[in-house]
Amino acid sequence: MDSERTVIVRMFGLLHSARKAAGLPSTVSVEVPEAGTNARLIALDLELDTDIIEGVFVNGIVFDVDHAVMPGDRIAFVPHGTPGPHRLYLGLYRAGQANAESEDSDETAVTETESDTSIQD
Amino acid sequence: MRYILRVNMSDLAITKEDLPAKWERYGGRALTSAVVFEEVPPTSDPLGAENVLVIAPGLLSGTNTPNGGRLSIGAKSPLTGGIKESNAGGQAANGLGRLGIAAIIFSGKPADESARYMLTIEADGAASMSRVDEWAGEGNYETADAIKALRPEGDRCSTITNGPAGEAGFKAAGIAVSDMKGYPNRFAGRGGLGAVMGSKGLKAIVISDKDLSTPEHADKEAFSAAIKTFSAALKEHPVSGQGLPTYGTNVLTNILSEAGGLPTRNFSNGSFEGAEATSGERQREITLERGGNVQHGCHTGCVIQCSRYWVDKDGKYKTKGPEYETVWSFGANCGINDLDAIAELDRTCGDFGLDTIEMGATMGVYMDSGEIAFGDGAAALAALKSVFGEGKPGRVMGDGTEATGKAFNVEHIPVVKHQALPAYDPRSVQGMGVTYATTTMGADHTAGYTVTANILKVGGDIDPLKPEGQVELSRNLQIATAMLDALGLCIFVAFPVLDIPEAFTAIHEMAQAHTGDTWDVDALMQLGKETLVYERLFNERAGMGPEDDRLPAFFKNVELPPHNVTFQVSDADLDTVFDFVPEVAAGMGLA
Repeated sequence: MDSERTVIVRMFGLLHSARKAAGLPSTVSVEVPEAGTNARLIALDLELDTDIIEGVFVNGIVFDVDHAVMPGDRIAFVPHGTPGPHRLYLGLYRAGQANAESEDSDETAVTETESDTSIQD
Repeated sequence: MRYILRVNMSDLAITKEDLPAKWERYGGRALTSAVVFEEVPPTSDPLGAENVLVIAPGLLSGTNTPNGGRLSIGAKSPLTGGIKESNAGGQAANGLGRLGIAAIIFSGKPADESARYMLTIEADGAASMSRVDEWAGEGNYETADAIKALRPEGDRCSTITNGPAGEAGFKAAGIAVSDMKGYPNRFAGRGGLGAVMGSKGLKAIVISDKDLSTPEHADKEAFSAAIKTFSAALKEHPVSGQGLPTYGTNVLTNILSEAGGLPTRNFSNGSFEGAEATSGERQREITLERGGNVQHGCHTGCVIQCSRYWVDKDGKYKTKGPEYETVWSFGANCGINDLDAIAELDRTCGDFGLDTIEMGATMGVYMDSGEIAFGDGAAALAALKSVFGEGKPGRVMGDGTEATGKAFNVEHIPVVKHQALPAYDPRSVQGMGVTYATTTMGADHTAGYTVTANILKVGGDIDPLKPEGQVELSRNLQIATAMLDALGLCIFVAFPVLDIPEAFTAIHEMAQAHTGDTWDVDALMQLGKETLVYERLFNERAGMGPEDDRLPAFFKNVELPPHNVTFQVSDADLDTVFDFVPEVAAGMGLA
């Protein structure tokens, strides 16, 4: 794996447990194209249930799941279920709303996109 | 009809009086704050005879309202010097609600400071005071066991107890409330209310609700329909139906660390390399491996069930949770990445009767002084035990973060209104900073939760690292939280209420069907506003001004890694958070 093209991916909450139940780690390195990819494609390659993802941290900032991810980034998928006002203050609520709008308008296009991401646990 | 139980600790007189008509719509925090506002001279000594200790279940407590069993305890705070409402789970609110008690108000103080008393309220409403001098200095767990030994076979009772920290008058002392199994592990932790209880010689309160049914409703059918809707919403929503029941509040550790908002090593970094090891996900795995319980309610009627018990390596009960704020305070904030060490600190605080948020922040400044190293769990435990023993830092630690920071010449002391900031760094979570700075309670994480479309609209647009929109969001969250506290609802009902319109409607339908009064959304928010008016005016009369609604300077001057941001909300904007107070106060007939 080309270390200059890797992205550190973490999975929290129910995504963490689902990975553990499958005997898989909840933190992995993935290799992405030099021009980048988006978080949804990484999630699909990891066989995560994207329906339960509310937001994704990209370098510490919350975005919706279609946000761009570049080589060298650190990302973390957060499922629905974050308690307290942090869901608002951190932008998770906003990201979830954007995800819902995106899925309504462009779900087919995303799922038919061929991924160029390779995964290393 | 609900009534007030008054206990004069100067002469031990116990009297019952009808709840005044002006307070009929109040419960929980609204009632504790109204009583403190009316009955406590704002400039009085918090540990003197003029202060009162008010214990009030929510308006809906004792009913079958889902997650409606929260308890408010209020007084003038010895820590902040202002008004205080500290909120706890546990069984006591349910028992008081079934008994029809709107509030217990303790006034005065005994002439003999060595005396210890226990108030017992039987299921028939009979209340009596007994001497328990032999319990002086006992921990909360030992006291709870002693009470159980006194109770008749088959009794069902809850306890409110005061540990040795409260008896010693420590400003970081909290009050313990028993959970459904009788463990004294739910806390009205913040603001030093244990010291107020201790100043009155009150060691314990026992509340029996054996064979008592729920209070009658004005419209039983409508109430049943509303709680059915509310319960379904709580179970359906991913926050209350999945995230919290599965991982508890500690699901936040990984998230806040990733956001750069998890205060680490006395607020010197926003991310903790030990977050994964202390996360809710890891906590669940360890607890299950050891055969512990990872999901139960802290009170009757809780459908969210975010409580859990930490067990030691032999599978024996150690403490509750630990909750997120405790895992943060003794974990990231002290650089400790060992959940067993954190649980031991939690248990020790629980037994002493010390607020884990205040003590973790205190430990953080003590470590920052260089006296002990960040990450040293054994040294932290020894330091904590020094409040009643030998060595450093000694008794000063019991008075909290500011006192300890000053004693050891620490530059960065994270307090507002003399109370330690909880588990969210205001530089990376600016909205929390607004709430910390301006809340009537001193830096308090629970002073700002939810409701209304306005909250969602603003909350859908804000950037956590920028000041825009934060004041408006914080204001509305504080109003909504005060309302939930007044009703006795757990703050974690907030997101189902936000996302599922029927859930919000169900709240005023429950209030209306139970009380027979007219309730709607505006009335609920008015309840929250009136609560804050009492608190704000009390603090003003106690001498607090705009200068007290500020974060410590280092949050504005020192950048926080990894985002390298400072707190950016202006003082002028902070001063607008409570701009609704004059108009609402005038409407309440308050100058």
